[in-house]
Amino acid sequence: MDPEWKHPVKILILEHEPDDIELLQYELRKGGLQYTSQVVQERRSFEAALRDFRPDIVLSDYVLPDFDGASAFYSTGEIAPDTPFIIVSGTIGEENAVELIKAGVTDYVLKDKMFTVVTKIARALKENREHKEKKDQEEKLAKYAHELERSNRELEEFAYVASHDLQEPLRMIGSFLQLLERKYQGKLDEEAHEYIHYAVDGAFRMKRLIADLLNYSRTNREFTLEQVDIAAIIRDVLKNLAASIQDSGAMILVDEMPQLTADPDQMLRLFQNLIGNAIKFRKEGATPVINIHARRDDAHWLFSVQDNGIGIDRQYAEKIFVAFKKLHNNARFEGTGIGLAIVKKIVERHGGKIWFESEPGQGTTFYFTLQPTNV
Amino acid sequence: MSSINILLVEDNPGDILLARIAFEKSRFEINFQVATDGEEALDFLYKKGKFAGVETPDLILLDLNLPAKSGSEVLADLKSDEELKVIPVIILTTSQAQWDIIQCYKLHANCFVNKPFGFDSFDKVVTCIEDFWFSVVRLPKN
Repeated sequence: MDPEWKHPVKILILEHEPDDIELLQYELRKGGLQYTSQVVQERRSFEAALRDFRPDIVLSDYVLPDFDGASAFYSTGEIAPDTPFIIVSGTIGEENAVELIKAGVTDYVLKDKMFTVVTKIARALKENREHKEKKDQEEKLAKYAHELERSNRELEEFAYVASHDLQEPLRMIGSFLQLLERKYQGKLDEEAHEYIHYAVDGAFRMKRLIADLLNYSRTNREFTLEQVDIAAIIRDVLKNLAASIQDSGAMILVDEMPQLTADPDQMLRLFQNLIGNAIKFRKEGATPVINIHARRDDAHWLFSVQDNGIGIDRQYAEKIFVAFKKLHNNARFEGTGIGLAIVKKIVERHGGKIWFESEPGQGTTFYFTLQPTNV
Repeated sequence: MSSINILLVEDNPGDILLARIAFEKSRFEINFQVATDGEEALDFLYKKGKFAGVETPDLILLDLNLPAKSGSEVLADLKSDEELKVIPVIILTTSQAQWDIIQCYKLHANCFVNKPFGFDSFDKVVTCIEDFWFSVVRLPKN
C-alpha cells in the first residue's frame, strides 16, 4: 500500500450481487488493506454516498438492475470530481473497458481476477495523489505568475500616473519661480536671486527626472514590432545628435547594419543613448572616435558601440545600468542617469543581453545582442 | 485690428494667471476672458445668462483636462455649430499623448500646443500665438 496513505481507505462499492460483494470484501481484507466501505445498489443511494461518505475511491459494477457503471462514473465526475473510479465486472468486454478508460475511468477489474483489486486500488490512489499534487503545484505557480504580472502592471501604471500627475504642480512651481525671478529683477538682493536660482534649477531638473521616468515606464507599456532597418535608425540618430557631433568634432564610423524585427522607436532610443553617451563622456582634448559594428552569430546579432572616452571603472559595472545612478556630478556631466537603464530595458525587452568592456582613460565598448526575428 | 477678444477655457488658476500676465505684455490690445469649465465656455459662446452681451471671441484657447465637460467635448460642440466653427481653437494642454493630438485634429482643432514649462517658455509660446494669429493670419470679421 502507498506509504503516504495515513488513514483507512474509504471505499464506495456499487454492487447488487451479494456473492460478488462478499468476494470483493474478502479480497480487500486478504490484501491487507486498511479500509472502511459503504455498499450501495442504485443511483440515489450512490449519489448520496458520494456526498456524505466522501469516498477516496469508487468500485463499481458495470451492469446493475436499474443503474449502470457508465452513468455512475458520470455522476462521480459531477459530484466528486477527481475520485478514482474502478469498474469491477465479469461481463465487461475488453473493448468496452478500453472505451471507458479513454473516457476517464481509472481502471477495471475482471471478476475472475478479483485478486488484483488491492494492487489496482493502491495504484489508483497513488496516481491520484500524484496527479493532485501536480495540479496543486501548477495552480500555485499559475497564481504566483498571475500575481506577479498584476503587481508589475500596477507598478508601471503607478509610475506612469504618478509621473504624469507630478508634472502639473511642478510646472506651477517652475513657472512662478521664474516669473518671480523676472518680475523682481533688481528689486531683490543678490542672495534672494541665488535662492530663487537654486529653486528654479531644482524644478527644471525634477521635470527632466519625471520625463525620464515616464520614458522608462513607457518602454514596457508601448511595444510594437516591425521590420527595422538599423542603418536608417542610426542615420536618424546622427541627425538628432548633429549639434553635439559638431560641437565635439566626433568621428562616427558605422559598419554595415542589418534589418531585424524590433520596435523602431526603442531602437532609436537604444542607439541614441549609446552614441550620445559615447560623445558625452569623451576625454578632454581628444577627438571622440566612435565605431559601431554588427556581427551575425548563430542565434543573434551582436552589436558593439566602441568609444575612446573616459572609460568606466570596473567597480561600477553593476551600477551603471541602475536607473538614476550617476558616476559623475551634474557640473561635469549633465543628465539624470536614466539612459543606460532604458538601454538595458530595451535590449532585454527584445530578448537580448547587454554588457561592456572598458579601460579607464582608454575607452569603453558596449556590446548587446538582438534577435534577428522577434515574436 | 483694434481690440482682440480671447477666450481662455482653463480651470487651473495658476495657468490662468500665467496666461493673463503673458497676454498683458502683448503689443496688441487684448480683451482677455476666462471660462473655468466646459459648460461655462459654451454659455459664454452662446451668450447665455450672465454672459448676455459679451463679445464673440476672435480666438479660443482650450485646455483638454476640464472638470465635468471635457475640452474635447467642448471642441466637438463648437466645431459642429455653424457660427462658432469659424473661430480658431488652440488646444493648450499638458497631454503629449498621440491619441489626444489625433482626436483634437479630427475634431477640427486649429492647432495643438503643449503647455510650456517655466514662465519664459510660456511667454515665448504666447508671443508666437500672437504673432501668428494676430499678425500673419487673417481672421474672419465678427
